[in-house]
Amino acid sequence: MTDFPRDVRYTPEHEWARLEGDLVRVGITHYAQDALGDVVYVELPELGARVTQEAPFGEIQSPKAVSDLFAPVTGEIVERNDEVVAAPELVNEDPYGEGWLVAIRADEPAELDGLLDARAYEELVESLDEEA
Amino acid sequence: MTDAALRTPLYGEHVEAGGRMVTFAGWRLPVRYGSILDEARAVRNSAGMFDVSHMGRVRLQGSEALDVLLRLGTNDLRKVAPGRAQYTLWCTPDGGAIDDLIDLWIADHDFIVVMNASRRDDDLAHLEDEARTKDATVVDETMDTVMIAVQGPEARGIVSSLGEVPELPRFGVGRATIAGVAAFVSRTGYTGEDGVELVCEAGAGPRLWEALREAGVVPCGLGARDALRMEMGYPLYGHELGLDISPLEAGVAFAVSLDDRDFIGSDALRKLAQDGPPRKLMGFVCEKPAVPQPGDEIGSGTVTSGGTSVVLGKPIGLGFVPSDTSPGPVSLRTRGKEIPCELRTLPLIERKRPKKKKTKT
Repeated sequence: MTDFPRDVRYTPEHEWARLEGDLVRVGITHYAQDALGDVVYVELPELGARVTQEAPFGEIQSPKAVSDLFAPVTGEIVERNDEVVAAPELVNEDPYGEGWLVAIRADEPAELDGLLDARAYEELVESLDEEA
Repeated sequence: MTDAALRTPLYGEHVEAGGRMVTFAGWRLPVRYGSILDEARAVRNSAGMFDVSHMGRVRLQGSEALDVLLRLGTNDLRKVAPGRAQYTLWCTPDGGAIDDLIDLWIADHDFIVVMNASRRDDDLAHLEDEARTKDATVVDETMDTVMIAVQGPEARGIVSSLGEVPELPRFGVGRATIAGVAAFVSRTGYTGEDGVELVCEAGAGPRLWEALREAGVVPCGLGARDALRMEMGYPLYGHELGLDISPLEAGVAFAVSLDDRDFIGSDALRKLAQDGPPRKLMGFVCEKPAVPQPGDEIGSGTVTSGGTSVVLGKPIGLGFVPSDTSPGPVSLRTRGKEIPCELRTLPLIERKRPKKKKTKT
């Protein structure tokens, strides 16, 4: 598995965002799922909900921790991955694929340009690992 | 306490196996290797092992060693005999818990006292205080030894297959040679499963660990250990036990023997037993996803530990509630939400001893 795919952008809170036409598909990174451990629960917003860049839009839980999910862009939830709600371990197994969480119709897709690219995100993760 | 975290002699094994190392009670230990849930399941269904070398191991020898331990411990060691282990607590004169411990009575005048890593310094001072005036020598062997807990329905079978291991009753203690390594073996643990805990010389620890791993015992981290003990309702010092918590509140009254004996804290505990403690430890099971955190409210009580039960497949926790609380539905208040829960008596799971069965490969 590629830990830092180049076709997505990254938030400093470890979400990834992939531009697909006018949709932005969102998940958490390989690093995030590895750090969390077993994902046991994912709480996602309803279809049609508005989300705001850098604001929490949902929750992800491991046996010992609850983490907020942060929206990479502002917009409307147009898809949610109900399979991952039913089987949260998909996030661990395939964070960049089957383990995606929501798709957002971005008000300003250009917001993605302000996020980290693969290289910058990899550097962020390396700096976190050094601190640990 | 920052960079000075200690490493057990098995540190290299943990890192090599991908252990995610954290600092716990001043020691670098794996919280998990892969999945906490898989590790906990291995212990419930087959066999898992934990490096518990961080726990204090203090040798107490001498003609009055027993008297020292009788003076300190809430449990009555005279109920058992050499070749047995006993769970006990040490208390302050006020009846607060200094620590919970296991005394391994290895020979007539020879004990290994196993204590929590976080309490080792205080325990040692307390023990030395009492031993000073008696014929009893205190030697801290923590850094010179390794301790491995092998737990699960298949644990004893696997350990026995690796060498000469005496057939022990529950809480029995003996000497064994496993994979060529001389070890003390006790039929004890902190998971609710059958199993043994092994103490060997530090240098031989890696050989013993590797032999167990090659025999199919699954290395498990602190995360699984915590989840397993929580299912059983076993207290963890600093959560369900402390200087301001009495053993009579923490569900370990079975280890407080007040009949015809005096020990440090016995007067206070006797009074508390007569008056009835104001609170008691109970468990709870969440009916919706949640991660209960210490300090959250559970009914009219307070959460002390939270986690996930692999047996129940639900979030669980422990907490102190008023003594007159009955089992039944309550709310957990966590992260500003109300989660429906069921308050239960401990343990939260039936201690199951599955029949040996062949696992598909």
